[in-house]
Amino acid sequence: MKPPSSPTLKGPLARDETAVPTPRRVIPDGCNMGVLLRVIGTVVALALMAAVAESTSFHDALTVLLRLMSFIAPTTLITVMLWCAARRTLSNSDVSVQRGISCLIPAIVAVAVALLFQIPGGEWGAIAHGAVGFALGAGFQHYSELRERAFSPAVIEAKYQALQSRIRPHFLFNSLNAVLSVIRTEPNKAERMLESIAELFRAVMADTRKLVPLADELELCRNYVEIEQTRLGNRLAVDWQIGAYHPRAKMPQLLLQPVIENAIRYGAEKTAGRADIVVKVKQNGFVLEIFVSNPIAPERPEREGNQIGLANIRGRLALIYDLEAKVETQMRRGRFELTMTIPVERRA
Amino acid sequence: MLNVMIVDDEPPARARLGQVLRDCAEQVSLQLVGEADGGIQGLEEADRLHPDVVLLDVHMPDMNGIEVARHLAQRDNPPAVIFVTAYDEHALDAFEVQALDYLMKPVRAERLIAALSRAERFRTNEPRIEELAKTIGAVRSHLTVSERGRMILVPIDEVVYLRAELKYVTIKTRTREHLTEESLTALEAEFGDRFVRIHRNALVARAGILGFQRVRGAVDDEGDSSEGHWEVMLKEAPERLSISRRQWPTVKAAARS
Repeated sequence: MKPPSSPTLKGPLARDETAVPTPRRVIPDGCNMGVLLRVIGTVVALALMAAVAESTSFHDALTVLLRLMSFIAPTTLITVMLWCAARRTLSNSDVSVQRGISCLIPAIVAVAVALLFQIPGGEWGAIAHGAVGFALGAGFQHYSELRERAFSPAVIEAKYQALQSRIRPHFLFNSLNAVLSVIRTEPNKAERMLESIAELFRAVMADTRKLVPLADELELCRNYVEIEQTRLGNRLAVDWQIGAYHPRAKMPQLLLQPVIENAIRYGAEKTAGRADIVVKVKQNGFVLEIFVSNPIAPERPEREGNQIGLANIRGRLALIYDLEAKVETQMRRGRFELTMTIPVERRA
Repeated sequence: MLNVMIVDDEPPARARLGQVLRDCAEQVSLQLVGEADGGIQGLEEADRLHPDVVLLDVHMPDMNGIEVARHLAQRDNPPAVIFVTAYDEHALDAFEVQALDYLMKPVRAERLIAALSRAERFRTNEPRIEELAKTIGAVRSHLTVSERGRMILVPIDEVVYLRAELKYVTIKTRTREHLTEESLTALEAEFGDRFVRIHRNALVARAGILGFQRVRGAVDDEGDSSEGHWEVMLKEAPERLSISRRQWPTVKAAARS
């Protein structure tokens, strides 16, 4: 299994950034469409407010806005272009130098444009425009630095770590206990169980952003169910309905297992009597459809626990696929049903 | 000779405890008298077999170990209870606070021997078990009532209403009535989610309320009318229970939500 590169992942994790410390860039990224739109939006909004405040009639407001825009448009566009260039050339400079330059660029551009356009007010007018440019530059630089920090790889990594699938301690100790119970009487079974437990833990300790062949994830889930089956005996019955899927189809590791774990936890562990759990997996065009349903104890539908596990799965999907994956749940005829659709990854 | 019983819902866990008990038998005089695969069966078996010690799993689907212990503690000459659990941080803290004995799965023979030799000391542990239940906020799924020397479990789901009468509280279920010595106040504190107090002397299951009916006040000979009041109508019982004027706003709010 080679470590996958992630060109087809869509969420923040998809960014091809690594844990290697990169030089900090704090000049707003003028080449980024999002940044450009935010800058233009902000200055137009400010111009509009100024025009309305200064005007005496609707027509007057439009005239003032037009006059202001004739100055603002070139200033903004030149500033953004210079930011873009400076961000790339000054990436190794000190952070405070970068911050200063971010403020100075709009100030100088504003003064230059003011002088070029021969803004009324002469020198004073030019300096005033420069000051406004400086202030707006400082404000925007600060905002974009905070924003980038919020989406930095380190923060994303931390979020991911927090969402990383974990095996419940309860499961670990109960399984070890189950192995101990058969070790004297059925050593072969004990061996097989320990192998399955080892495999499960290997997966849990791996980076779960890793994409693995769908077949591998299904195998892991079957191993997991086998361990639970030993513990719960005939109280647990899992109906696997695995449809056709592309042999190279991939999915994030340990995405299906926690869903099944939840189903067993709320369907079989907490309900007396036999629990039938249904697992359906099939590929439908470019999406993988996963459906899991379990009975739920009628008198105390402890849904919160289920919801916590679900929030975790949703969080992981959002980080990996952004909006392209979805999870839906519903209660129907005393059963908890979960439907998950994720894009199929089909790289060799 | 200690008579030991195992209560655990997972077959391998029972098998394992059985093995370890046999290992211990060389050092402690004991015998395994019975096993049960759930809390309710555990109580029935304990009544039949009168074990000295019950090894009791904490997590079981039909009735958890702590509740089983609470019911066991109400028996005459109750068995000593040793809790067995795989992993449960909060409950473990609570066991330690109440100085109740517990074992962690997988159980070691040495630990089991130590617990068994201490078992005698934990024979009359009712107050400690009640404290434990309170610490971890455990709510029973059944009430124990004693009838002609037998202990009967009444599922709390089946209770329609609870009414205090003189010394006892009447437990009314779909099919019959029982008496208990537990106080209405304590029952309200434990099952407040399930019941609403309609009167100083009565709690009604929220799910069993069909509706309310206003009863007109009577007019006596001198023309003075007593004020009307409300009564609750029940799904599972024909009788109507009066709602006190003081409780009416609470009952109304509970019915709305």
